[in-house]
Amino acid sequence: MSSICMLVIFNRSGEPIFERSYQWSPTMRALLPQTTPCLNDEAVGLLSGLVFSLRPFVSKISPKNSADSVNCFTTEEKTYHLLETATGLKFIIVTGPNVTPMTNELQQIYQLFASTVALNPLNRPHQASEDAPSEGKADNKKPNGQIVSASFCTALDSFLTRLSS
Amino acid sequence: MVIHSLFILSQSGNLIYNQVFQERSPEASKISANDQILLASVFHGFHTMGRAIDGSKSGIEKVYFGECVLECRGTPTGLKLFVIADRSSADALTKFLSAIYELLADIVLKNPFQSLQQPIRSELFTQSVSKTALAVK
Repeated sequence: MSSICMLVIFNRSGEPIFERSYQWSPTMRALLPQTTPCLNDEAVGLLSGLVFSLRPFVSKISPKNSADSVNCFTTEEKTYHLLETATGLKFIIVTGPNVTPMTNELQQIYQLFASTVALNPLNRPHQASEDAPSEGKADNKKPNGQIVSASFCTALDSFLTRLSS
Repeated sequence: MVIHSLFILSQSGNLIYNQVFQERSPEASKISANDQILLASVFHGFHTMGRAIDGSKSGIEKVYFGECVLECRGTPTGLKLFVIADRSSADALTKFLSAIYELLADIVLKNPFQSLQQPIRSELFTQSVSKTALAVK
């Protein structure tokens, strides 16, 4: 499964609070973080909208249970695995095509997130976009609540490397 | 019967054919015929968004949710056929959709009285689709 491209986390309002792109390096046998993103900003925005609207669609159209939620969706080139938590956070792993739905792996990533970010007392996720916006900031300012925890990044990198090898 | 329902959308996203093969279970949401038309057209939007996100030629191909899978197949002319079925039969759906596309070409499109964007009302097509759906394991 050395086709993991990217991990994105959206907050409750659909803003990306964490993005990390990866590339498999055969020489180092590791998944290395990349600075050039796998999906550009516009695509990330579209992905947020798509994920947001897929949920009520699936809930209505599902013939088995209206509580069903999307596990993953694929296109010709990529597969998007999705986990939505009870707090409205959405974890999305983008991988290559033809990958089985990675729900368990997403649960484990959520455990990593819970232990390094959510339980971190210095973490302030709700520095709100609801508050009065600061004047004079550029439009491409990242939304508040960005995850900057280095321990989350390292734990995530090693977890995904173990998955890919 | 593993297949639950089949939808065919025209190039503009209107629902032109819809067939349900199984009763919805009691925990599922109740939807009327109008709701089905709406939902199917909403999927047209998703398909296009899927294309815009990663630049693939075909948009969303499969959606896995709960115990079900939705598989969509676009045609070169812009029609979209999508089917909702049990997850256990996910591999058989591509062949099923190809078979339905063949039936569509043979029965519906070769009918000189069928106009392209209009709903499909062909008894022969409905029967052939039911037979094909029954044959999917």
